[in-house]
Amino acid sequence: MSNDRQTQTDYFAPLRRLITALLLLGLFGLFVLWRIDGPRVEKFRVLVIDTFVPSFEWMLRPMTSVVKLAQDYQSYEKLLEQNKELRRELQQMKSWKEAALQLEQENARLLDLSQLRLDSKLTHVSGIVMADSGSPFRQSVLLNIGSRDGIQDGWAAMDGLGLVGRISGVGSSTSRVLLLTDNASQIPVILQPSGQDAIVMGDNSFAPPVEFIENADLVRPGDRIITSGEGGVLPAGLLVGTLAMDPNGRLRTRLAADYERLEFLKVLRDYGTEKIDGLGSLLKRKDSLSSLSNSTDGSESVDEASSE
Amino acid sequence: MSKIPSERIWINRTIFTTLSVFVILTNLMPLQTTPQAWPWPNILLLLIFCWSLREPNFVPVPLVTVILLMQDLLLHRPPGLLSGITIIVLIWIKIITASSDDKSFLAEWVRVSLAFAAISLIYHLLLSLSLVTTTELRISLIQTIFNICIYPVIVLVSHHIFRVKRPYFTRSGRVI
Repeated sequence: MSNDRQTQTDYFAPLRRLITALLLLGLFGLFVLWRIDGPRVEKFRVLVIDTFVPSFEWMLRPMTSVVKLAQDYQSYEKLLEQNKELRRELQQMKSWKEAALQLEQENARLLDLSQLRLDSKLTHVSGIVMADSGSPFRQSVLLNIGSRDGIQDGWAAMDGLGLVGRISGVGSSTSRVLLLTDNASQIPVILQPSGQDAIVMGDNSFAPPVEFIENADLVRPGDRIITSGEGGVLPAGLLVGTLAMDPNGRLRTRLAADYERLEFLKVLRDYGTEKIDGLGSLLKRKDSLSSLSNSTDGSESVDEASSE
Repeated sequence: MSKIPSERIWINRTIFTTLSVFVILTNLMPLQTTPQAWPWPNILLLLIFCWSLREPNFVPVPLVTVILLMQDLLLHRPPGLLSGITIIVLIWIKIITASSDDKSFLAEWVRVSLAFAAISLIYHLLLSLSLVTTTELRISLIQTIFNICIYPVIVLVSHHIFRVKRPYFTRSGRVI
């Protein structure tokens, strides 16, 4: 028996070794390819996720609900305490609600007076969070909406209150949201009321630090952080959070979105702001064009540059 | 000395695949949307090492490759790198185990601990050499320590529930 097995192993051993070597070559080759041509391999990754994760949704959804139920049960034990706290908060909220209502009415009156047209493009698509990144090193979630719902790379994802992250990677029925807490996330922001530009850089911690503040003396903890829309990265004016200072004196973001309960996210449709290119027809005078025969080359090049 | 019947091999291969998919899915459950200070142990890595060292017929290298690559893709790691390192270290540990006389569990545990440490260190080294933004070394070291601590539990569960028992390849001489 053992002899028989021995010969069998000897017979197959070179083949197995060859297959293993080829597989290893393939794996490291894939990594090198990913380093050289990242977007193509990432496209492949999105394809794999797009086919794999939705087909296991029937299993993911109940499993998640059961675990969440257990977590909720733990919180029931502190119900009385929470109730008191909530009542206190509600009392404060009522006064804020009153203030908000008055402001809303005032705002409506002012808008009516000035006949301002609001940006109609900021509509949104809502999606359910299907999965998280699955590893402690990356911070992202997977939504169940994708390119068939018109989602595009780079759009902003928000929960009810604040910015959560940006779309990075769109499959046909799934899309990945890179959270603000991820190492790779960098968002241009404005600190209000001082109006300082800064960048919120994720560092895999709960409160991402705020870097590159122009004049740090003008800001103080408690300032509101909103997106600036610099470089067309995100629509301007989305709430990110408030500024806070950690024990080491570093400025960080206290995020407005509730990251512990990301169940539904809304993705803002954003087709970018239109660029105004070329000279306005009012500015271009016909006689000046004909008289300046030498400068026609120059004006053409200007047109070309602006159309690019 | 009895040969393992082939249907048992195939049943166990199926069980292993199902377990791996289950582990990957539990990782993907949207429960950890905030950054965690304490990472979970890498159960899939533990399963692969435990089963390969005990019953390599149940976990052939091509199957491990496919599962690891799927994990790389789904968990947004650089594709292929961690899988490749894991498989090389796995084969290396298998060769060491096959040639060594010490068949005690303690020796196996020490070897596996070294393997886990080697995997995370080589992974970090290669990532920083290829100029990929590296993940935090602290988290992966904590995870390695967790892996080492949890390993006996995985061995016990595999032994009693899935009946994956003592090393078999020392008898057959099969390593890869």
